[in-house]
Amino acid sequence: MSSKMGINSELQDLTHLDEVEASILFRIDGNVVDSSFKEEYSHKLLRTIQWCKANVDKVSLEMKSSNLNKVTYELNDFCVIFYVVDNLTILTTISTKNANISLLSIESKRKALLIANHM
Amino acid sequence: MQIATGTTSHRSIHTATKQIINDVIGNINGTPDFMIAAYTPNYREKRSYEEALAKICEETGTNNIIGGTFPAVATSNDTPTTQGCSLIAFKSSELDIQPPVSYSNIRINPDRGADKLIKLFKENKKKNKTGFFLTPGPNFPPDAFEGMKMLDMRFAHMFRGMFNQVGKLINRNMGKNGHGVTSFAYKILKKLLDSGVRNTLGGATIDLDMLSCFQFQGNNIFSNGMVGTTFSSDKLDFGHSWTFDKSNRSKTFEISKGLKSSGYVHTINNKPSKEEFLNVIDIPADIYEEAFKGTAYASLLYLSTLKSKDQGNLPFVSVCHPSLDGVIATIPEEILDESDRIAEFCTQSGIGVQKSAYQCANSAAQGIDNPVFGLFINCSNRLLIAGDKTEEENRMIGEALGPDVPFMTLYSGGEFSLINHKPVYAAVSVHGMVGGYSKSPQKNVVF
Repeated sequence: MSSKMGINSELQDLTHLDEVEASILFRIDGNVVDSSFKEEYSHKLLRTIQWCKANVDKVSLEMKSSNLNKVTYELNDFCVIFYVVDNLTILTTISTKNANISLLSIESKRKALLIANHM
Repeated sequence: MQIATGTTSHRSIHTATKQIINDVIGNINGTPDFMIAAYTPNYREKRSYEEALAKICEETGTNNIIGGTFPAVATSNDTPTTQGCSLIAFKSSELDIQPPVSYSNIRINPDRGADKLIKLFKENKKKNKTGFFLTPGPNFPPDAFEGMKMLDMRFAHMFRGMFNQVGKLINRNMGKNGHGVTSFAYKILKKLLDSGVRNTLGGATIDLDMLSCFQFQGNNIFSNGMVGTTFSSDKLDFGHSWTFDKSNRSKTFEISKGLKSSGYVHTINNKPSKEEFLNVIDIPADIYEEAFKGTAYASLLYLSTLKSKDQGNLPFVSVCHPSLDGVIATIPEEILDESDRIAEFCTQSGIGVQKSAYQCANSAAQGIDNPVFGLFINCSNRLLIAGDKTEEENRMIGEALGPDVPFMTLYSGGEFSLINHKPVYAAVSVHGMVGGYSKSPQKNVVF
């Protein structure tokens, strides 16, 4: 499996989970490397993705300076989990606000490790 | 001795299964003697699990496999997953694992299931032996609480003398509809104990969304079944242990009145239990509901421990649902009867969960010089506390067992053990079994 296909498959795995609305692999400058969405998505979700895109550079800087592997935010009825993949990329998982964050972070962490292997 | 483990994750159960067969069975030279397969419950359909198990049986050439669905699964050599499967495969001339048994209606008739396990133990003539079995766990269909609300409102208040009858009704209803608690497992432990069984490890399958849980034996998939086997050997020994995060203890309280046969506690400290439960844990009702409504109202950070005469301090989950005036606790009435009814609240923490997993593995491996494998049943409640530190928890189990010792951890809806002729039925705990050589095998020397 090529690297791009492999990464996309891992992102699709995440969005296949009931509570996950979107999973996006961001470069730390805010560019999207790859993404996967549920078939139907709302304007609210798009606004949340825009927020992620606009802030991923600041979040990644904070994560780097504080040596954090994971950061979560709750906004616009969604929960956003940022997971460090490597020095240049961050995995972003956007779920409904009622999602079980403990369970979701287990899978996000696993996917971040698998994506790092594909890079 | 060949023991291989692996964990894979994929949105498709077929891909996850194909991958796990490649990863694990590829490492076993020939047909494995026995396997334990654990899938996460997100694939939902019974048919999906049937096809997956049929594929494993076909590819490995054996039906000697048991397993079930668990919210997360982990093995020694992979990161835990909540969307995939774990497999452990055994092939050894020194370790005898009997063809597994199953019983399809364990909630209603635990004795019949226990009899099948006892028969396996009696047939087994090896020096050292232990058992391993899986059962269904708590399972609440969407309308379950609605029905119970009626029972609670109409009967529990108006006819106080009928508490026991109402309790039986609730319990029968739970059993019939496939939901409720796992107190039947305590009956299995007792029966095994009465038949002279010394050691056993058991766990309950569960889906944290409380929609469905399955148990596997060969190609058979059960939703209210028990599956199990025995491990035995003349050369290997088996160590068992259990523990829970008891690092922070807080207030004590008295369980004043509990409904027989139901695990339904009506009064705590002689006050209505719902009110007093929230009072003791010092959380307002609205915050409790907001915090725990996504997790079947289980108290996660707080767990209550009850001092049993025979078993010491046992931890239990207590559920305080807004539609009930009482509290449902996972305490079997036998344990309630044999205890002084004074309970304590403990708080769990991520660090405490990790440390207790290490303690469990370390203690199970004591007396075994050279561990060769481990099986751990860990509470799904602890999984939610640990979150993405679950990997760290399993790393600490690995540290306790030693480098390269294969093990599997199943995050369950109930953990049970018989340890040196003592039953341990507890929630929010981790139970472990370690197999290995008590004295390192010595080569034959010919002079």
